[in-house]
Amino acid sequence: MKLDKNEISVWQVDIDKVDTSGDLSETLSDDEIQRAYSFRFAADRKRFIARRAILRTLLGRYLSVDPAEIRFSENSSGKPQVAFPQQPGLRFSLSHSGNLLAFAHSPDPEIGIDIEKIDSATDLEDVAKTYFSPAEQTMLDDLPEPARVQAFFRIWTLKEAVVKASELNLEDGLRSLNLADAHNSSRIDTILGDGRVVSCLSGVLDAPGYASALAMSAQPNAPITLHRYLVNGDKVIESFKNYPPA
Amino acid sequence: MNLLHPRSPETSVSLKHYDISHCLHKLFERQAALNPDNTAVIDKMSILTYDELNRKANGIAASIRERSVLPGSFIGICLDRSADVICAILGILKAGCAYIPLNPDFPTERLRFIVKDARIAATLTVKKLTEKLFPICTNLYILDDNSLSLIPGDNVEPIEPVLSDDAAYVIYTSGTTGEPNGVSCHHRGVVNLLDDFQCRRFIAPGDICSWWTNLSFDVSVYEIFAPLLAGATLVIVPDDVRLDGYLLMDWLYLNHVTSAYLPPMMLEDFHAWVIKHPDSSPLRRLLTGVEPISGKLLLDIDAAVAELMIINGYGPTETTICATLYTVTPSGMAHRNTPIGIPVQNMQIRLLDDDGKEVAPGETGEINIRGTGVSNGYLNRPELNDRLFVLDPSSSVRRYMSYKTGDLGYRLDDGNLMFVGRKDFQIKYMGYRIEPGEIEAVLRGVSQVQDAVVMLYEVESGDRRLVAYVTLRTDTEISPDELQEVMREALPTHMMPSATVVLEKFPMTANGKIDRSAFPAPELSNHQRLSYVAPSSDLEQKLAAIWEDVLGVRPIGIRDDFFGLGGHSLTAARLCAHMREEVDERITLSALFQSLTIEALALRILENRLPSAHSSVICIQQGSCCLSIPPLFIIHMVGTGLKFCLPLVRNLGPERPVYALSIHLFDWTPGEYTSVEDLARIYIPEIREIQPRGPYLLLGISFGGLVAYEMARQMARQNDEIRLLALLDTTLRTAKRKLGATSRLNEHKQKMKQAGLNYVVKKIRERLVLEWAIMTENSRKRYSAMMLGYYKATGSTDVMPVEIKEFAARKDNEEADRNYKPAPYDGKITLFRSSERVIGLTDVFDPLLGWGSFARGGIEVIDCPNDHLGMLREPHVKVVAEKLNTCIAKVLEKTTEPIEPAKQHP
Repeated sequence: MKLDKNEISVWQVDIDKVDTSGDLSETLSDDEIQRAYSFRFAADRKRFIARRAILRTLLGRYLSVDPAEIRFSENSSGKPQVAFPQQPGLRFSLSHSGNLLAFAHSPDPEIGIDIEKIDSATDLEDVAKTYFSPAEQTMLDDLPEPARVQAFFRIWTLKEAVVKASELNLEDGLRSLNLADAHNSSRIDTILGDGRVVSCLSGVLDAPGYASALAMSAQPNAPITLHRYLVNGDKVIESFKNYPPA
Repeated sequence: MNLLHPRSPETSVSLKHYDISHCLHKLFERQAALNPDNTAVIDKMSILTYDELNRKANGIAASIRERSVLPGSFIGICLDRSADVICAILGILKAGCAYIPLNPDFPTERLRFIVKDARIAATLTVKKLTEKLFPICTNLYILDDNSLSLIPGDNVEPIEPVLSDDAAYVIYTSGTTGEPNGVSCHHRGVVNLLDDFQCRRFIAPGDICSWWTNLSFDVSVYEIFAPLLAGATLVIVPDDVRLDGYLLMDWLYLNHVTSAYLPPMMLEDFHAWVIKHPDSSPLRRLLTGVEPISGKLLLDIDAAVAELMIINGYGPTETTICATLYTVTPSGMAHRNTPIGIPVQNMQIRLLDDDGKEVAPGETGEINIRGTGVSNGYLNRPELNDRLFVLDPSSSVRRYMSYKTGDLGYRLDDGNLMFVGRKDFQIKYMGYRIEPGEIEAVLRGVSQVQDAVVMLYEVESGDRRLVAYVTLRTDTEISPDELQEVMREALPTHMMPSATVVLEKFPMTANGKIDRSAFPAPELSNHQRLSYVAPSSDLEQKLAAIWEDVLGVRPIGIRDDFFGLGGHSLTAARLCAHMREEVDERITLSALFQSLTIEALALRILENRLPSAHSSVICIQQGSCCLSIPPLFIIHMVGTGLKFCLPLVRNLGPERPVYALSIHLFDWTPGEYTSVEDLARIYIPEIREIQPRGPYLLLGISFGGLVAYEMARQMARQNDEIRLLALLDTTLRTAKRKLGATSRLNEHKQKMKQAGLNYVVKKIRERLVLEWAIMTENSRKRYSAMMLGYYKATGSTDVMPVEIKEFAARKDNEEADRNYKPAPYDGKITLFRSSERVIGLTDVFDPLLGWGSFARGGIEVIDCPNDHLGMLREPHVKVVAEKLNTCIAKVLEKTTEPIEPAKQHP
């Protein structure tokens, strides 16, 4: 598998349907195994191991290397990146929530993906009060109940995706971005403090009950080809879309 | 996969109501006679009409009779969910027998237990499952074996007539003792319930009803017979769709399912689907139930699907599927959980206290169920039957009148019942109702374990822990840790005991009962001792309470790692929002990510190592915690743009701690600080808080260099040791001046000579690029200035978009730059200078960028590749970082030659 510049692949995997028999930890590095054992709950540990194994498998395919050989490092804002092979020419981003995993890969531009299970926890308002812009809060307050929860998660996933694609630190990113007007459109362009533009697609995944967003540090009208892969057990459903549509 | 079949109302005849004295298969046969060509059942492989299904079932019934299985016998069904199952059920009933589901997915041990316990006379199965069954059952009917002549035939009449009080099926439930009990249910109970459903939302030929549940769950009886008694169609949900809420909702739609059972866990998915596909769902009757369901969710679904009736059912297997039903109505439901409704027709509910008397209205009592649905009791459990069932004294046959559920409920003012929970042995622990019997059963399942008791133990006042006590079989051994691991695999986390204690024997009372008050205090396992450290200080306790609440994990010790507990970014934000509200408003996500345990976070709070609410410092890189090396402080370039320094930091290597200073990080109002001196005064205390004493390393990027210089100057005067003052391409305004007209001309002539025509073209192009940039910059500035004016005028600078904020910050900085008049500094300046710069054609630059006359300690110039911005970007930034590292190493070397080591070697 190979991606060209301005091509992005997005993988959506239901972890509960992945065959987890056999030793999935085989391809994991020692520090990943160690991290796996820092989970209090066996279920979290199992999911972590499966997550890393899938991450490595996919990267291994794009980079044409043995998944076990891949090494990771983190950039200054904590986003993981491939450290070996050196100069991999591939960026990636991953996110998980509930039983879904989301992966994005691209040689260029830098990307960030986020998925969150929509869950009407009672304290979302507190989170919004602390981390959302006043305009976003007002917008949320004006919405009726079910739409408000949906909008909260759309904004949250957009922000987190932008943070991942732009090396902002989470706190700054959450506070400084204002997506009050943007949360309803499917492609959104936001300008960061240093003049960079991050372009986002909302709801890139086909997952009812979840919110998702993909951000890329690309100019507003940069042509992007998005390959989507929906992994369902053994089946992979593939589709692709051009932005802007041809 | 559209399995829609044409609706044919003209040829169909329906029976709206059912006579409860009739048996299930008789009511089906009536439909088969009335509507022989209606589709009865559809699975992945086949479609059967009523006539075909009836004749196939007759073949099975005849075959059962041929094998001289007596009416009233129990016959197992070990089949995957398919049309075969429907044929088998009807065949068994027609033969006068009752069926028992033997779920192929059950462990062999459980199947063996059921076969033996119920004395199963024969089992219907298919070839591929025989391997599992051969060691367990003797009398197998293999439906897909050609040698067995299953000839579809006419209705067979059993030797003795089947009565509606006779058993139709036996379903095994897990008792609290851990041993499953077979509940024998009669035809009458099922028909009575289905008739009640018909009164609520009628099913008729043309309706399509799904079968979702497992055969060993009694809701399947409702799902199967609701369509078959009504002339409607049963469609079997394929296994690969069943548990995927998303696929299932699509499947229900594509198959035009009008009646379905959905478990509560699928309701969210259904809601999401109907919101996404408004006015599309053909569903008219939805049964749900078993667990508490959010009342709001059902109302939302009800509102979204026009024709839908939602019914919440409650009832133990012992009283036939459902004993009470609640129809969701838009009005009058303001409950957190959905009520369980009113009794099914011909049934009554009484709520009893411990003395067996009815409780006062509104009070909670044990739910006692009477009436038609009460089953024939447990197979071969006379004692249990005597305890839980009451015989009907008025009946000539042995028939139970009522059943004690052990469930608690209360009646609402409107007559609807609310379910509260289990009565016996139930423990309320961390907000969950826990059945200790379930945990004990898991432990008893371990071969070494003789017996187990699970209880809440008050370890310390107010600290109650779920503790498991076990005794072991003689000469066996198993550690508490191993037992914990077994439970962790088998139990949901909220049911995990905090500790497991192995005892020689359980304490007993004088009359031989287990004395629950005499168990020893739990001995925490090694694992627990290591990982769980209880919060001690008030602050830790407060934090722990918040963490437990947000993460939904209990207990959380002070050394538990945030990520290890399953935390992620949204939980971090939720956690911070609560901690800021309830503990300290200065707690940030960065503070949490740097102190991932309650212990570390509490320490950080106590030592006041949190940024003040107005802090302008941000930690970019924490550095290696085990090395004690001085941090590098970076002062921002113009605007709020800290981002420009990130590539540089990344290339410096991970060991050194790096902090960035920017007044614009938090609550800042444009126009507040507009002089370099002001900024220096604000930043100095901030860096002293992080590093109380020198040697200090300061790096100013571009405009930030002015601030760094001013800081170094002020700090040096206060006797702080500035080891490094590095300026990254910081230019004093005085460094640039226009050449005089003559010298300008000379300069051009000289360059023309050197570079020829190329020089001219290059210059013109440079000029054009520069002018275009200035032009666009100016128009952007005008727009931004206008916007800034607006935000200032409306007093709403706190809601400015980032780009305006950026503009405002830049404007303030430019003003500071214009007004700054540096005073001399006694130390040395290290100047990182870009080798290319875009300057006007006629500008001349001081090679020391104007600093020459100010640094009394001298200037070291380090040339860097590319231009002002390029030197901060890949790939050039690598070189800059390398040079900076060398420089830092050099200035710090001084400390590596201290006098102390010399003392040791005189």
